Parts: sequence; C-alpha cells; structure tokens
Amino acid sequence: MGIEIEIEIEMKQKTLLSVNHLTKTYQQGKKQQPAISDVCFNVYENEFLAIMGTSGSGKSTLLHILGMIDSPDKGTITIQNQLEPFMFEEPHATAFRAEQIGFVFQAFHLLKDLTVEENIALPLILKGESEKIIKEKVKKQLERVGLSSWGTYFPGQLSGGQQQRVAIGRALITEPPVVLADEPTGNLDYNTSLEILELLSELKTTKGQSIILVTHDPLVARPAMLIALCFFMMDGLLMNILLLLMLMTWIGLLKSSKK
Amino acid sequence: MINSLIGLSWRWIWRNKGIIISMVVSIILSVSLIVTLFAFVESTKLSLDVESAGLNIKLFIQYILVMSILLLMLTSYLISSNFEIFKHHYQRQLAIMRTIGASKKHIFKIIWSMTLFINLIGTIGGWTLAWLAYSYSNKWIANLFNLKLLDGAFNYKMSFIMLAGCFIVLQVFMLIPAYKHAQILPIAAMKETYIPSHHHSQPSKAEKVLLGISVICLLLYVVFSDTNSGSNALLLFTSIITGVLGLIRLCMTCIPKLIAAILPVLRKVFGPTSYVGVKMRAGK
Repeated sequence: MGIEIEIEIEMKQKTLLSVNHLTKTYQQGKKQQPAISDVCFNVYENEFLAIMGTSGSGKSTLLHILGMIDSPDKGTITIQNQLEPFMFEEPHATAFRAEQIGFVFQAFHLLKDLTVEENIALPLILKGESEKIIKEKVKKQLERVGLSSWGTYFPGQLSGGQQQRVAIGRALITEPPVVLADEPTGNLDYNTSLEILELLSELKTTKGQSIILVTHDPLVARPAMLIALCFFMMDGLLMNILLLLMLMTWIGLLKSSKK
Repeated sequence: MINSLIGLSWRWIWRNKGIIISMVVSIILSVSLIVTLFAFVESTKLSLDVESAGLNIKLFIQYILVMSILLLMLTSYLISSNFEIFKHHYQRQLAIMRTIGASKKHIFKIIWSMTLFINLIGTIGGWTLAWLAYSYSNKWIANLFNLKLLDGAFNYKMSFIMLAGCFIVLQVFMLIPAYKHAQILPIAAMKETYIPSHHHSQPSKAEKVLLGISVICLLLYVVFSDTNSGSNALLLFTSIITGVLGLIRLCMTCIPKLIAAILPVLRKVFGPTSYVGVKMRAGK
C-alpha cells in the first residue's frame, strides 16, 4: 500500500527539467579533456537535488550548462517538456536565465555598490517591475531570509552567512522554477552552512521551487543527503549515490565472500 | 532605494565621483575653448571690415574647426580611457548582472545613461564657462593689462550651435564604451581566477590600418603639395588624425615591451622594490 502511494506521488510530480545525453569536452592544447560525458537526469517540481563530487569532476560545468552560461557539445535540455532550439544562444540564454533560473554562488557575488535591499531587488529591476511591486516583494523577501533590519546595509558590512542569505533572497525573488546553487556553503563555517541549507530547503517548500545544489564538501553533503536526492559525479559521469553505495557494498560483499 | 536601471547609473556615478569629475572637467575645458573661439570669431567677423579680412577669417575658421574636431576626439579618447578603468573595476559586477539575467541592452542602457549625464553636465558647464569668460574675465583681463578689446557681444546663436555640435560628437564617441561594456560575458562571474587582459602584445588590424592611412595621406600631401588645392588641407588633416591615433595605439603596444626590456637594469640600479613595483604596474 505504502509503495503504491509513493509511486502515485511520483507520477503526479511534473518534470521541470529534462537533461538528455549532455556532453562537454574542453580542449587543452592538443589534449581533449572531457568535462561531462553523456549526463542524463530529470528534475521534478519541488525537488532538492544535490550533486557531489571532487574538484574537477565536472559539477560546475554541468551547472553552467544548466544555467545557460555555457553550451554543451552534444545533448539537449528540455524545460517543461519543451525543447527550445536556440536556448544556448544570445539573447535566448539571457532571457532564460532571467525567467527560469536563480543563481546562488560560493563567493556570494553581490553588487558591492548596492544595499542589501537593492541587491535583492536587482532581478526585479532588470525585469522592469514597478516601484510598488519591487518594494513589496523586497520587504517580504527580507523577512523570509531573516534580514529585515539589514536592508539599508552594504554587503561589505555583513558576515559571510548574511551575505549568502542576501544572495539566496536575490535568487528567489522572481520565484524562478529552478535554483542553481554552486557550492553555496563553500565560504562558510559548518554551523552557518547548515543554516543556509535549512533556509534553502525551507524556501523550496514554501514556494515549490526545485533546487540543484553542487558541493564537494562531505560535511555539507551528509545533511544534504537527508533532504535531497543525491548524485555523485566523477570524471564527468553522473551516478545516483544510492545505486553507487549499493554497488560498492555488493562489490565489498563479493570480495569478502571470495576470501 | 534604487528601482530602475537609471537609478543604478546614478549610484555608479555617485560611487565613482573621482573618475566622473575628471571626465566632466575635461569636457568642460574642451567645450569652453571651442565655444569661446567660435564666439570670438563670429563677433570679430561682425566688428571687422569683412571685405578686407574675409579670406584670412575664412582660413582661421577652418583652422579652428579642424583643431576643435581634434580636441573633441582627444577628449573622447580620454573619456573612453577613463571608462576602461571603470570597466576594469566593474567587470565582475557587470558579469554578475549578466549572469542573473541582465541583457546586453540593459548594460548598454546603464553605461549610455552615465555617458549622457557626463556629457550633458560637461557641455553645459563648458558653455557656461565660455560665457562667463567672455562676459566677465575678458573685461577684467583687458583692464588688468590695459588692452583694448574688440567691440563684439557674445554670439549666443553660434555658441548654442557649437554646444549642440560638441554634445552630438562626444555622445557619438560614447557609443564605444557603452558597446564595450555591453559585451561582457556572464561566464566571467563564475571564474574566480578571471583576470582581464590589458596586454597589447601585437598591433591590431585597426592600428595597422590607421598607420597605413596616415602614411598614404602624408605621401599624397607631399606629392600634391605644390598644386595649392583645397584637398591638400584635407589630406594633411586626415594624416594627422590617423597618425596621432595610430601612434597612441602603437605606444600602448610598445610601452609594456619597453618596460620589460629595461626591468633588469632597473632592478640593478634601483633595487628589488622598484623592480617589483614597476613590473606590477606594467602588468608583466
């Protein structure tokens, strides 16, 4: 009975993003360095997806391609089952980023000349929203990220954790269906990292957005495994972490039985 | 709180007052000089016997016109260079904006608004300075040195034509920094180690073309110099402009190489601190 309900819930989930056979190779002199190889996965609505892997495994390249900052050599990405033929070319890529994607970076990437509220308002300003809407949304967003009393401060006056909260507020203000987080806790201590992960998870639940988080840090990966569907990336190949663990356990068992 | 792209332009103007003031001052000086010269010539034309001095004044006006265009080009070059410094400082921020959904059009609009503000303040300031100089300081200087001034009023019509002309020419040149800023890619924001290139290792195609045109014009000028035709002046003018632009670009190419060549000597003479300081400034 329980399994049937789970399958039913899964069936009701809508596919937001479908990644099909993505491949990207970088040329290093005469050598060809594959960054990602034949990566396929689906992102459903309201899903928290964590991609783990060591440095240079291709996680960031994958994230760049998902955010239309980079283009693949092969493969396609369909959004809500629709394939946009020129999605990686300008101005389509910029339009896609503005409407569909929210970015959270490791180094926060806030605009130093803008206050906290202005940084959060920036995507709305770029969309050409009215002053009234901008003020209303920014006020709500500041409350959500717990920075109501910090609105008029500049990023340089905030701690790392607070700056990342601003970045999250900015990424989610336009309520994009997908949020891409590239090592969002990379510059933070363990406790602040947990707070940021919790905040991302909370916001996802409230607004129903899907989050794709990339990390190399096992300390972050461990709590992320409790709240997210986890993939592991190595040498450009993407693997489901549960299948990988099962496989490793099975190989371990085989080895021990041979002994 | 900022609610528009124009607001963002204002904020960047406010946060970069030093660079902006230097740009405004350079425009004020150029425009005031041009307006003063033309207003002076116009009033002189009215006060002198034009029949007898007609040819000289005509030549003088042509000379001022050529000098004015050169001056405006140099001012534009100075402003473009200042915007290069601005771009160097703001490359990362612009790249972040591009990543979170700012189009090339958005960035162009922000930079274009900044240039519009600088140009507007500069040209109006220049006209005001010229008017003040003509109306007050001339009389004061004449009294001070016991000089006799020509009896001519400030020519408003001519000064406004020159004001509009300077504004249009400068704003057309401002398309260059606005376009350059709009070309910044979003990927730069993601690369932590991204270092913008400031080296001019090889002369570009444009530099070679400019120098080529300059040489051809100069040769033509020499060949036809005895024919006394009006096209000679045009040839000389074109060769000077292209020559100056070409030399500026060539200097930018050669200076880093020159510094690199003298660095070992510099180290021996002035010690390691000077060596490191110059090396870092030269970007080598």
